[in-house]
Amino acid sequence: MLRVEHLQARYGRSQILQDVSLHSGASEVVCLLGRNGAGKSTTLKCLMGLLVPNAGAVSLDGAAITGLPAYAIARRGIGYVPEERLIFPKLTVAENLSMGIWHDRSQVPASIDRVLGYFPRLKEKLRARGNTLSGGEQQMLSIGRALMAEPRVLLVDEPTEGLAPVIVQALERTLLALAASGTSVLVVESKLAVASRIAARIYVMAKGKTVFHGKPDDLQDNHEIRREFLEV
Amino acid sequence: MSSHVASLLVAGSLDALTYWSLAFMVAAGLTVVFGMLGFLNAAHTSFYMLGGYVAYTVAGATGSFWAALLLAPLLVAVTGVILERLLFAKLYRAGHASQLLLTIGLAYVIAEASKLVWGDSAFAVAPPPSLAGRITVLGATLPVYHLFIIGAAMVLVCVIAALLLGTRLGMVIRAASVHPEMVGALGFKVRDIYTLVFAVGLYLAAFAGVVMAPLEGVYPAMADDALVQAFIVVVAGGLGSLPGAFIVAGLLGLVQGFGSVFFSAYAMFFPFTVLGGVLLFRPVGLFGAKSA
Ligand SMILES: Nc1ncnc2c1ncn2[C@@H]1O[C@H](COP(=O)(O)OP(=O)(O)OP(=O)(O)O)[C@@H](O)[C@H]1O
Ligand SMILES: [Mg+2]
Repeated sequence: MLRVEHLQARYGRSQILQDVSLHSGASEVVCLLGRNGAGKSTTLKCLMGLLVPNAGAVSLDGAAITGLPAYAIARRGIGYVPEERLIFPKLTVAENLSMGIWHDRSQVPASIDRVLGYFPRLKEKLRARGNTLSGGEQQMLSIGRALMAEPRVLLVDEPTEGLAPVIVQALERTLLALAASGTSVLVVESKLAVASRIAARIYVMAKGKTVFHGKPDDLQDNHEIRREFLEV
Repeated sequence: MSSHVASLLVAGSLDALTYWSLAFMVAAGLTVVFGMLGFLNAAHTSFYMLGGYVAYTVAGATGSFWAALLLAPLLVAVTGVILERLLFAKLYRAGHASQLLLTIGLAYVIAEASKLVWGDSAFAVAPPPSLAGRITVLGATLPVYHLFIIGAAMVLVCVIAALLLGTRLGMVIRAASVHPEMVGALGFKVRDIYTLVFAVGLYLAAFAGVVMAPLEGVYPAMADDALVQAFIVVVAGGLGSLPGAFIVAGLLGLVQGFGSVFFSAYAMFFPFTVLGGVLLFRPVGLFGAKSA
């Protein structure tokens, strides 16, 4: 579904992504692991068109999307949940969700109902403003907003960061359910434990490169990679 | 004696409201474009002046002030959109220094071009006959035209508030003013939203230029005169804040309206007094973000 080949990107003069290659297929959760500063968020930004790569290729179902602007990539069916969540603070929860539909507002009510199926907690908050939500609720809203347009690929940046274990479990179940319904889910994580529970495959990034690819069990067994690129 | 004071108060209030309306119409676009697009447009009031000049020409050709009021702001806004697409948009991320260089240059170009077209003398524009009269309230004789300006400004402010707060497009604009990249990542063309916001801001400025024309005429220094005041409103209101601009324009209107009735010799210093007064207590402006 989503294929990334030898991606390179920079901020100003510093080359942040050196060589990132990965693939995320339909109906699977794929995790991108790595230490702080490895370039995981930068990779997602490149995939979403928020940062233009200076080399490499990104394709969706075989069609090149490299270098397209963000709106065009979103319209092709990629959803994005940023690390900062980026909830619109003064819009209500319902309005935040409706921002997930750019084309046909008549679909908004039905889509909100579908998304509330994943996040029933948001139901009683629909009229609350975005900035009154707890961290966990904001994360649900950010994911829910990205799901409104039924993306084929969902990019999620550190969804469990700073959240209570119950909520982490709920989010893990949601991501698995999404994959089970056919979505390709690419999750950036910093915790191996979370990745091992949800991922079908794991990529490890270090210093702007993908340095490992395998099943969670392979990574458990590979002490070298874990010591060098994951553990602190 | 007391009736004399009452009539002065009424006259002062009307002046204050008129000035408030005009100052806000001019400053609104400047502050919104700065807040949303990070673009500092030193040529903003050149479009206000163009509004006045184009209105003069249209009114002359058609004999109708109303035709001028309808056409001139639209023509100026369309010109602005073309410039936005060709020039301004390239500098949204380039930093304020480059933006100021470009737009100060553009302000000179517009000023010189206007002189080529209209010469460098001032023109009077007659208000429409239906608004040319005066009415007497509490002993004060008030120009009907001032009441019209206030009414028109109130209608415009209400229309814009209703669009921003009550429509889906307004919601997208508000969202894009907070997290533009996220709005783009949700499939909206933020680029087009910016152009629309720019156009509305220039429309308001040009509209103010048209309604100002029957008051003070149109003249080459019109843009410069308004620019200082507009920047005072924008800075004291808090860069990018529409409510801030609304309130400071009101303060300016008050000191200007009553000041010029009671202490007219010092009127030109009043705007700076307001700016200094506000910044003394809130260095980031009334509604400015803490970290400027
Ligand atoms: N806007 C930016 N401008 C310049 N450098 C940046 C910018 N954003 C990130 N970087 C740099 O790029 C590198 C990779 O950052 P990135 O955010 O992709 O890391 P990450 O793997 O997501 O880390 P974390 O786990 O902390 O979120 C870091 O060295 C960071 O300092
Ligand atoms: Mg990150």
